[in-house]
Amino acid sequence: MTTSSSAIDNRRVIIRTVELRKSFVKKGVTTEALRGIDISIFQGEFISVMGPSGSGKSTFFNMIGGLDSPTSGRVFIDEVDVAQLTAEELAYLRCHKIGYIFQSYNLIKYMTALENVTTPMAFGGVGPDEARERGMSLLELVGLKARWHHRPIEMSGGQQQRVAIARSLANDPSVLLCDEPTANLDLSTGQEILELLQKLSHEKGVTVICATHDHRMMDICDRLMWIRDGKIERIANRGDVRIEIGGIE
Amino acid sequence: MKPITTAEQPWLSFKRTIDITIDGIRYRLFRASVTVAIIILAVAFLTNVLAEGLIKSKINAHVTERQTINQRVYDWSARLATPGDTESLLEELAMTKEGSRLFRECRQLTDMNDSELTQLCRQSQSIVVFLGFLNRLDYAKRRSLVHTAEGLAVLQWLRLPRNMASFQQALGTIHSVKCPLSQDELNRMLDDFPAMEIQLKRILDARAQAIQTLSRHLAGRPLLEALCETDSGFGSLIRQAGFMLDSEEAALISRQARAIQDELLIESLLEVRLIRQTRTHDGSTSSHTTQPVRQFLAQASSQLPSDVTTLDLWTMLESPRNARLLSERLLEMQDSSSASDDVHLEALPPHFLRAISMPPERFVELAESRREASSLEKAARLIGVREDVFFGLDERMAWLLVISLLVCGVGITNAMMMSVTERFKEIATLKCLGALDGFIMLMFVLESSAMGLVGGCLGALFGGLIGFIRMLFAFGPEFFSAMPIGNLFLGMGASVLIGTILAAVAAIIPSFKAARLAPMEAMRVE
Ligand SMILES: Nc1ncnc2c1ncn2[C@@H]1O[C@H](COP(=O)(O)OP(=O)(O)O)[C@@H](O)[C@H]1O
Ligand SMILES: [Mg+2]
Repeated sequence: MTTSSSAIDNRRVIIRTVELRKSFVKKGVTTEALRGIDISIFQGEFISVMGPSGSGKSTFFNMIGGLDSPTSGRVFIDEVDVAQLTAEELAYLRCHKIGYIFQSYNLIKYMTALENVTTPMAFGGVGPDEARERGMSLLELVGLKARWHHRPIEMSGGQQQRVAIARSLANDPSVLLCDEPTANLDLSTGQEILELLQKLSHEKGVTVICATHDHRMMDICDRLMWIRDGKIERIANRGDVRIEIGGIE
Repeated sequence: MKPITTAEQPWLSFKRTIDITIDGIRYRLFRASVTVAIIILAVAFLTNVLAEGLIKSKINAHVTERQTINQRVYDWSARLATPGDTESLLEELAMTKEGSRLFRECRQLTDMNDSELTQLCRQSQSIVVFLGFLNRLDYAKRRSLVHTAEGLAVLQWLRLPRNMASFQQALGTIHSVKCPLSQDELNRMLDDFPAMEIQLKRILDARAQAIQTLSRHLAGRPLLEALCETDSGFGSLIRQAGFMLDSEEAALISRQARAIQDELLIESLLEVRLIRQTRTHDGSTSSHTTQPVRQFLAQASSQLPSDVTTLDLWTMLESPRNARLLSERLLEMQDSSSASDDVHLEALPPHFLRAISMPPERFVELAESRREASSLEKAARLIGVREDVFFGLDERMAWLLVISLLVCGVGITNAMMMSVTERFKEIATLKCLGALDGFIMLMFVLESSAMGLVGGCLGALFGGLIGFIRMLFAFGPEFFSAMPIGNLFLGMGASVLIGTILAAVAAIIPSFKAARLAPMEAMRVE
């Protein structure tokens, strides 16, 4: 690890991975998607994970989001070993602690925007009236209050992604995992989404981990991490990167 | 900022689960309707098989009952003609119980008391059971057990200790054969038999005596004719001779006997001849003979007079209008024969001419009862020999039922599997949002049961209706009143239940698989 400024070292570590490895075996061919990742992510930081397609970003995401189990190594979320959790505890973790945002939005097609947003609340045990109220305010936050009754097919990609963001915030999570949130969007819509994420990170203090190709991400994140062939190539603070790029150009 | 603690995820409320499930079904209405169509077909088949089985077994019972009532007069003419043999009496006694007609009759004919008779019935039962057991064996086994003895001779044969020993030995070696009587029961039966035989003979003798008394009273009159008066004079003669006959039965028998007699009379009308004598001018006479009823029928059905059968006669007489026409025609002929010396009606034997003065309503009544009898016969033939295995279904139908259940199960499982597979992404997303495995399973099982319920109701309705209509056409509308409507609804209800449960069970495996999938594995399938 090259850089890690002393200013954030004393902050709380929210996600930590130790020697994280994941390999897929398909028809006897083993693909090593992750080949030993060690990283600590601090509370409230906005970290951007960059790397070419196939480098292992999504795999890394699934590991730290508790969506898949590693071949070896460990993932600690708030110092709790994810591998030790029961199915119910994992469900609780996914419901309350982590918000997921996907490249393809993954809204439930047969639910309205509001229902999509309130479903995780229902899973978390929030009553319908409170869920509705909170859902509306989240839709207001992403600027879609007027379209609460629309179904995903009746909305544009950007609008769908904003509903997905509102949904990911349903149970006030500590961590927001975004897997290429802007990849399917045009430039200006992507920009809006990025600004929304930045706002959330600043106003709500949510830890945002964002995989992306999008170079505009460099402007808004606190820290950057490059992955190549399942290994961390480099980690840098935004300030340092600016200077370097400036130097290169 | 709150720290991450892990706690157990609560269950989603049942109402919300149902809401989500229904929304899901509505969104995929087309796929759901295909699944429901499969269920409808399967349940319809199931209900159809069940309904037709139920209807057939009910109609069978109805036909048997009606036929035994219609046969009462034949039973009595047999009873009053011959005392029967020992074996048939044994069978009668084995099936009777205290207080029955036969029981009271035996008590009256002989001077046996109730306990003697009850014992006789019980002993007859064990003999009938034993002989029935032997009769069901194949030839080789039977031969090794009782050699070539048949019927009651078997008991005679077994009374020899040597034969009994060989019987016991053979029974010991043939393992597939199980004798319904124990050794003690067998011995007791054999010991009792000589005394029984004497009692049986007493009954038979008394019967023969009674028959003789009766035939003296008949003095050569045909029995059928006498039976027509069972409700009056002849009935009391029967009772005096020692037979048991209640007034209801007497009325039934005389009615049936009269019907048979009248039928014969009416059928003889075909052979009635009209002879017309004409004198020629030279003083000699020539006669001209016609069969007026044949001619009448031949005209009505456009056939040759010689081709007309009794069947045509009865078919025609079913219509009151035709019956009246025929009756008028007959009376006309009678009038003309009494008005002129040259014309006269003739039938062989002469008393058959009585049929001419029968009212036309009687023609219609008899024609209709004949039609009923023939439709009962047709129904009995349609049903054939049946052996109920399950719910009034014979073995073949029970198999069909099992297969239709399998088809139903496989069809629904397949539909659910497809439905689950195409929803992997949705399942994964729901799991990312914190859904428990149990919720995912419940969602699919609910969805499947809902489809099972809808498909089951429609299928049961179709299947039941089709079965009902098919059976109605097969047996004819006369059997409408014999349809087991209540049982039919019960069967339909059972089919709905089976469809729903089957659908729910069929969804368990695929939804269990889906629920257990790690979210990202499911997500990857697109
Ligand atoms: N389920 C899987 N089975 C086999 N190979 C996989 C699977 N998931 C990912 N991979 C492989 O792992 C590597 C990393 O994939 P991924 O994490 O999706 O990359 P990225 O998101 O950076 O494009 C790729 O080479 C990919 O082919
Ligand atoms: Mg990816």
